[in-house]
Order: sequence, then structure tokens, then C-alpha cells
Amino acid sequence: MIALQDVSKTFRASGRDIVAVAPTTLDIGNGQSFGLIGSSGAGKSTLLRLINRLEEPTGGRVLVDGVDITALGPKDLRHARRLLGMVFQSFNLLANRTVLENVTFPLEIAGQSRTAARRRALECLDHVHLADRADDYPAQLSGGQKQRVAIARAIAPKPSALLCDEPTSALDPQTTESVLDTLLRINRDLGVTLVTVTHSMDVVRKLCDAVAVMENGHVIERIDLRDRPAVATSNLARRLLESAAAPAAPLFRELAHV
Amino acid sequence: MSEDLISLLPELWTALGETGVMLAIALSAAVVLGGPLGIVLFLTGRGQLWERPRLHFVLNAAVNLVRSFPFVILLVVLVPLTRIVAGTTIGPLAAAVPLSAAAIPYFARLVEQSVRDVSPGVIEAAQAMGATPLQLIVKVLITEAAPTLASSLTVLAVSFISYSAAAGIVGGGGIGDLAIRFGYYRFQTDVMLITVAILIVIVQSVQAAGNLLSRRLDHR
Ligand SMILES: Nc1ncnc2c1ncn2[C@@H]1O[C@H](COP(=O)(O)OP(=O)(O)OP(=O)(O)O)[C@@H](O)[C@H]1O
Ligand SMILES: [Mg+2]
Repeated sequence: MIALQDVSKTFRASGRDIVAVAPTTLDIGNGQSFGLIGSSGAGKSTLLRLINRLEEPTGGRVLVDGVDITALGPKDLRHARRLLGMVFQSFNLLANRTVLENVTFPLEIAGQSRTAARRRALECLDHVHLADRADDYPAQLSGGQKQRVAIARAIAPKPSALLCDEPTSALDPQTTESVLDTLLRINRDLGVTLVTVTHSMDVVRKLCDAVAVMENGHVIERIDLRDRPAVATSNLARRLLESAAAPAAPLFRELAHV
Repeated sequence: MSEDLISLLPELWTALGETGVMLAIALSAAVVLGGPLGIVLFLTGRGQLWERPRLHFVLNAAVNLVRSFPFVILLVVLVPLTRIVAGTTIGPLAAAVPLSAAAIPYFARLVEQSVRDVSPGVIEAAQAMGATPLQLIVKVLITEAAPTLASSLTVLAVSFISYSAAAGIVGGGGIGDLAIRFGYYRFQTDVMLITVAILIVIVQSVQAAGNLLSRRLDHR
């Protein structure tokens, strides 16, 4: 459903070109939970943001459910973005809106009536087990709860996919669990495709059924984690699989030695 | 209370009304014209949604230009404009013209700075959800910056209470004018003290109301 075709991104910063993503082709299936890992600066976030065109691609195409995202005008792009929820490391909730109002936000801007938006928002909050906090403000919540509100907000418009950029990196291990559980349920129960950027092997193991490894703007390997045993050819990926067998070790510690 | 003061009461009411008119017009102009100008200043800036370096430069320079005029000079320089807009150069309506001219860029700058504090991540999240530019401005920039905007408006109001007193000197009327006419030219010190006391009470109330509003709007 998400097909990247030779998509690339080059930034021009202070006179020199930085190839954040080299021409990349990648297919992410419907209902799949797809991981994106690699060392810092490898281009993971940029690749993720190319999918909903928060970054304009330098070249190539991005197809979402057969629609060429890269060819859309501003209005059609706004509509297409509603099919792609996004979850951020820093939650990015609106501080001056209540929890409920945060979740109604994407529905409001899509033109839904107040009552319909409210009903749907409460449904989504229920799904992340936070319906009782509907009238609180984000500042009154813990980090994990904030992220669950952000997830409720992301699924409110019934997207076909969620793009998650390090959704648990700002959280402690325990709250990470609750957020991963929430994401997993959204993937399993609602059939929402997940694309998750992460540094943590624990997250990959718990959440993903396939993972792409990035290095210097290239996807150097794609591993299907449902294959047993999973096969890795690159050095980096082998280390990942080894650490996946071992107790949870954050990926960046592994990567530091690569 | 002296005889003077009692006989002055009607004048005092008129003066208060005149000050009210000057402030209402100047603050409304600031909000209606300076507010959007501040938003545009922000959005055309570097790395922002409508990045337009040349337009940003021009707007920025214009705001700085008007703001660099000492207010009294602005009063004089704008006399021809005042005559065109208000049809006269005396009275509170006339004084409202230079007051507005000063208030618009002042508030624009305050608004630009307020919305600059809105988290870029929140703006990006709204874009990722498919918000239109107008929705982004109203539902994200203004809502998130609301407490700071309320403080900015308070700062503006307090400054312009004092500016309006200055405008009084050149025939604008209002409290400041009263203080000068009676207290200064006619040596009625008690009148001057009374008007200053009234100004102090007004400023304190405006500031207190602004703080309260800002706190009410702030859920961070
Ligand atoms: N707006 C930008 N302007 C210039 N260069 C950028 C920009 N965004 C990203 N880059 C560069 O592109 C490269 C890839 O960045 P990206 O944020 O995609 O990496 P990442 O894999 O997500 O890293 P991390 O794990 O640290 O988040 C980096 O070299 C980065 O400096
Ligand atoms: Mg990143």
C-alpha cells in the first residue's frame, strides 16, 4: 500500500548538498508493521517524512493506496494526509486544548460536525484507555499518556497507516511498554499499517514484522522478522538480529560499535 | 476636596471618555491590522510556511521604521495624514490616527514574537494532519500563543495609555490634556495629582485584568 519508487531527498545546506535519502525503492504491505532502523543521521526520519510529503522529494514517487502523493496539489495533499496519521517523539500535542479537543482537532479541520467529532474522539480515547482524562490538559498527563493521546489523535480520522518517528524514545521502559501495546493493538485490531522509526531493538522485536536497515541514506537491507530464523547479510543487520535474541539492548549501543 | 475639583468633574468625565475613544481606536487598529501583519511577518520568515525573504525584509523594515520614530515626532509628521483620515487635527479622533500608526507596528512585532514561541513540532503535526493555512493560523498559532498574545495586548494597552496622554498635549483631549491644561498651565497641582492618580488606577487595573486573562488562557 505504501510504495516508494526511487524516492530521494537531497538537502542544500550552506552551499553544499547533503544526500539524506539516496534513491530508494521500498514496498510496505497493507496491515504490515514496518520498522526503520539505522544509526543517527542515516536518513530514517527523512524517509518517513517523504511518505506524507512533509519533505518534498528531490526525485522519485511515493504511492499510498495507489495514489501518487508526489503529484498532488496542495488541496489533494491535505486530503491524502488524513490517510496517514503521524506520531512524533515529542508528542506535539496542542497545549491549550484539552485531551478531547486534541483528538477532535484532525476531525474539525476535516470539516466534521462537533458532535460527530466528539463521539469519534471519545471512541479513540477509549481505545488508548484514556477516556477518563478527556477534559484534562496535556500538561496534566505523563509522557506515556501524552503519547497515547497523540496516537488517539492520529487514528481519529481512520487513517490506513501511521507514521511513527521514534514514538517511545522520550519514554522510560515501563511507559514504552504501554505505548507499544497501544500501537500493536491498533495494528492488529484495526488493521492500520505502521511505519516506525526507532533506535531500539526492543521496539523492533515487539512491534515489527519487517524492518529496513538504513545507512548513509541507503536502505542496505530489508529483513522479514516472521521468517525463522531471520536471515541477515549485512554486518549491521546481523548485530541487530543477535541483539534481538539477547535481552533488550537499545540499538544505539550496538550501533556505536559498528 | 476643593471647589475646583468638584467643578471639574464634568470635564473629568469628558476627558476619560476621550481617552477611552483614543485607546479603543488605537488598540482596535493594532489588533485588526497589526495582528495579521505580525502573523505574516512570522510566516514569511526563514524556514516558515510562507517563506518569502524579500517580502519579509520589506515588512520588517517598515515595522522598524515606524517604530523608530519617537511618538511626539510621529504626531507631528502625521498631521497631513490625520487631516485626510479624520478631517481635523484636533480632538480624540484626530489623535487616534498617529496613535494607531504607532500601535499597529508595535503590536505586529509583539504578535510575531509571541507566535514564534509556538513549538515547530506542533505546527508540523497540524500540517501532517492536513490543516489549511487558515486553520493553522487560527487553531494552532493563535490558540497556542493565546496567553502570550494576551500579555502582549496588555503591554500595548499600558504603553498607549501613556502615549494617549502625550497625544493630549497636541490637542487630542483626554486625561493627559486635562492634566496639562489645569494642572500645569493653571498651576492647579491638585488637579494634576488627581489625573495622575486616575491614570495609575487605570494602568494597574488594565495590567491586573491582562494578567488574569493570560493566566486563564494558559494551560501549558
Ligand atoms: N532540514 C534539513 N536541512 C538540512 N539537512 C537536513 C535536514 N534534515 C535532515 N538533514 C540531514 O539529513 C541527514 C538525515 O537526517 P535524518 O533526520 O533523516 O536522520 P535520522 O536517521 O532520522 O537520524 P536520527 O536517528 O538522529 O533521528 C542528516 O545528515 C541530517 O543532517
Ligand atoms: Mg530521526
